[in-house]
Amino acid sequence: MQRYLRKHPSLQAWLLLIPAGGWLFIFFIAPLAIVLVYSFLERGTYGGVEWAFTIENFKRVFDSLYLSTFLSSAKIALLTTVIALLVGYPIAYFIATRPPKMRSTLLLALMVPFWTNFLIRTYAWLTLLRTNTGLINVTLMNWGIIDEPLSLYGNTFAIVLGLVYGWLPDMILPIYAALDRLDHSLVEAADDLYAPGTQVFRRIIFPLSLPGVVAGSMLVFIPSLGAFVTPAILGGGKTLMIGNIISNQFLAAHDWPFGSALSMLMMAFMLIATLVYFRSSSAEDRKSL
Amino acid sequence: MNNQIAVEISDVTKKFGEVVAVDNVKIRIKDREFFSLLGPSGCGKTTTLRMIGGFELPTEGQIYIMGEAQGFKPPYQRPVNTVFQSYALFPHMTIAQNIAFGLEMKKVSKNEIKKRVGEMLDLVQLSNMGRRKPKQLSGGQRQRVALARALINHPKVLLLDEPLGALDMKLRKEMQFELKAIQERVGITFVYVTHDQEEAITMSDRIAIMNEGKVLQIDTPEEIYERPANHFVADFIGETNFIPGKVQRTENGFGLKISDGQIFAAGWAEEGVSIGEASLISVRPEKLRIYPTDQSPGFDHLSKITGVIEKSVYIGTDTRYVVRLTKDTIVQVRQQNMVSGGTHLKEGMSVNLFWDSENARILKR
Amino acid sequence: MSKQQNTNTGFLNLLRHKLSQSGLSIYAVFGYLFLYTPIIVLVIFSFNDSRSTAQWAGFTTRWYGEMFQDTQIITSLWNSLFVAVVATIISVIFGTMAAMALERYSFKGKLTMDAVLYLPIVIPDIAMAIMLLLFFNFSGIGFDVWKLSFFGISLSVPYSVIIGHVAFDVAFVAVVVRARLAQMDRTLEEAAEDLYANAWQTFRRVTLPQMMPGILGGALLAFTLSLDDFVITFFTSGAGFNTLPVRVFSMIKKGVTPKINAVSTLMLAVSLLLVTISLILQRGDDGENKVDMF
Repeated sequence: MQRYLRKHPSLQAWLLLIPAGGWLFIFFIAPLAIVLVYSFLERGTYGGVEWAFTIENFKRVFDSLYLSTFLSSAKIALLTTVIALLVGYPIAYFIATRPPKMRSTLLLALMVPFWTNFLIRTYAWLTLLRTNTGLINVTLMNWGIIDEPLSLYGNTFAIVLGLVYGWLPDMILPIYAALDRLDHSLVEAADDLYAPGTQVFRRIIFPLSLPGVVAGSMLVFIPSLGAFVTPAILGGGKTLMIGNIISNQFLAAHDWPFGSALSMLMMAFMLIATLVYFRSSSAEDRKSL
Repeated sequence: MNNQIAVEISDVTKKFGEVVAVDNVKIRIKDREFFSLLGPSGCGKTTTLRMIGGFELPTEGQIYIMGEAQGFKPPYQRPVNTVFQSYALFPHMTIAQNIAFGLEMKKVSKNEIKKRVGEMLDLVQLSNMGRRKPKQLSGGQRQRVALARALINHPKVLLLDEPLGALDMKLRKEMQFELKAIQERVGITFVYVTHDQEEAITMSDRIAIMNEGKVLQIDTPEEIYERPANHFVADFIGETNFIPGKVQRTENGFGLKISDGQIFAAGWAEEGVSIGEASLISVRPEKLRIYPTDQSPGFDHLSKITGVIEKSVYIGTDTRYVVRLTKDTIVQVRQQNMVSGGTHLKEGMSVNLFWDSENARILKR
Repeated sequence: MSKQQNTNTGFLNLLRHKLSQSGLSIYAVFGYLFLYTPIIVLVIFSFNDSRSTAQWAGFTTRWYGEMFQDTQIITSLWNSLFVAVVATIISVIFGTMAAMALERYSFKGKLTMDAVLYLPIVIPDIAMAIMLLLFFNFSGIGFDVWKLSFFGISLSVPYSVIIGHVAFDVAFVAVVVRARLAQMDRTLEEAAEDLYANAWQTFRRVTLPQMMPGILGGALLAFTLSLDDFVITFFTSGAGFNTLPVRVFSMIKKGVTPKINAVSTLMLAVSLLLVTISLILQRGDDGENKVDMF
């Protein structure tokens, strides 16, 4: 048998792939197909589905309520990405311009907070941001700096803050990687040609770090779009994103077809965004991912 | 060296898709011979070596080791061992474990292994380093471990893929010496791949010169140097003059008529060269003797041609002259400085060049 | 610009340079503070002697005491560990095999399989969670637990949760092991074959040891992901089954107390422990110090 396998390497490959591939086909691809099918079905009277074809679900998405939530989710995700970029780029730059030994320590120090559970980190912000019982407001009021508590919770601010906090390393690391790979002789050449610091940055460093910026932005934007935990905990039950609405369809409203349709649309949107990214960057740039 | 054939590469071709890496190669390597495959990068020498080892299989043809056809046998079923260019020492094992590996696979007893590993370490002068890991050793030491790991198995044939490439000059020369000594002592057939002609000439009993997948000449180093079979070999090995001209018949044989009408006598012509054809003559710089025209001795048995010294360069052991024969033909002449102060030939002098016609060969362009 | 001008503006430039350098450093310090503060606050208030998570009222460890006596928490912790261990074992074996297939062979349909193995990584949690929910419902597999007992030990195996975990774990393991395979020296395997090792021996004595850092890294990643997962577990758990994150979520919904801080600190400690182990292991074989686990 060994000799037969030796002569047919493709067979060897398939045998190795059967466990993982099979698992994913049954427990990933098939479920995905089910969601796709369900999105075209009618809602059943007692929950579940009615096997009748309809495109009502998709039509309903464009109903003003849901569409506006979709749009505000996209807005939140975009805002998160931009803020993460503004906050994260200087940090990446800082780390990249330290001597090598310091760099690994700094990177390690960067990662430590993020090896904790996402839930916990979001909870930590909850205890800080809550209106009457959050640490920030309580402390500020105790010190007499403010009289009324600041509205830091249950709004877009809290969600964006929570998301930025949660996904910051995913923005910093690709940018750092791109800056690290930068050929320093280019910077020196610019210096040699009398370029002042800001010009060197604007015309040489930033453009060359662009692949990292784009990669980081993708890594922040996509998950932020599908956020569930952060708005659930920091949104105070009010401000909802797509993720929460989808989850509602399955937990409370029992409208599975509609939830499936929403899910399909969310994934389609992300797929388009990812394809745009792949098109606009070369394979070499994507290695940083 | 007995007359048994250790390795026979019989009409072997290797194609990678459309690319022909090895083109209908026929080589017979004698038992106990130090045989080199020499050529520029990409000539197919490494691929040929790998086919002997079983790491690639021929597209056409057959490989025989000690008379036995190897067919599709994988490396672990062939009585050969390899010293890889990058040494390929197992980083997670100690030196001793590395060397013992082949014996372990052959299920040799633990005591026997211990004894033989010890002997091997002594042979390559790495005694007491058995416990160390490869990363703790220098390049030269790792090279010796790779050698030991292969030799301990007493293979019939040892394959070496540019094993000295990563070493510095001085270490290389030492190792060339050592490798040759080990080969002679142990009596194993060595098949050695290199792109360094000096290395090949120094160490080999015979050399196969390869280019673009084909074998151009198989001979002893001396034969290859003195009697190159074609243009590529003459150019690749050592230095030579290539003088263009038309093939002519002479009283004693043939020669090349160069542009000013003078005839350059040759003692040999490549097969297929016809009279009147535009060809080249190859003659090595040290084979030309140079004398001023008014002081030339009468060398009756040597051929003669006249020219003018254009340039003379003193290089310590030799002096080199660039001699102009015609408007568009120059040759380089090398003369040993037997007397200090060099010779007394100056630029602008008219000189006669003498050579033995057997040192001039007519080759296809 | 002449040399003369260069020296005059030199000082100004130097000053600007120094200022921007220290400005950057100050910013970075604030950046790191931003990252660490919430967690430090969280840990501090787990020792708070009052129900508040904002007003400090003195030091106590009573919340930890309460936590360890809360059977629901202990059960959910045990469940988390059980699911993580089982899912990790399965996904490491399957994932390593898949990585070898994808990295070492070329065959028809490889691109598709490649994509299939990347999908669980890029898909948002919530989408995967509801996919699995619908699937378990549709297929009749359900969300129950299997009750097994052998050698006097009875185990409840939450198969739906484990199935979901393996689905995403296997993708991550494959990525990590593939990365390791890609940078492995192939000639080592040729050398082993040259030294009379057949395919299986080569694998066992050379390939596998060389893959080990990748396999261990993948295992650790899978374990951490499973331990931390909330969304997928939430939607694939049967009634009454909780892992620790799921339990914490319901605690948060009920009301904020320092007990949650205590549980959080515990989870934090476990995470840090796992990462430390991972770093020690990575320094082991090659002597290389790579910070590539995130």
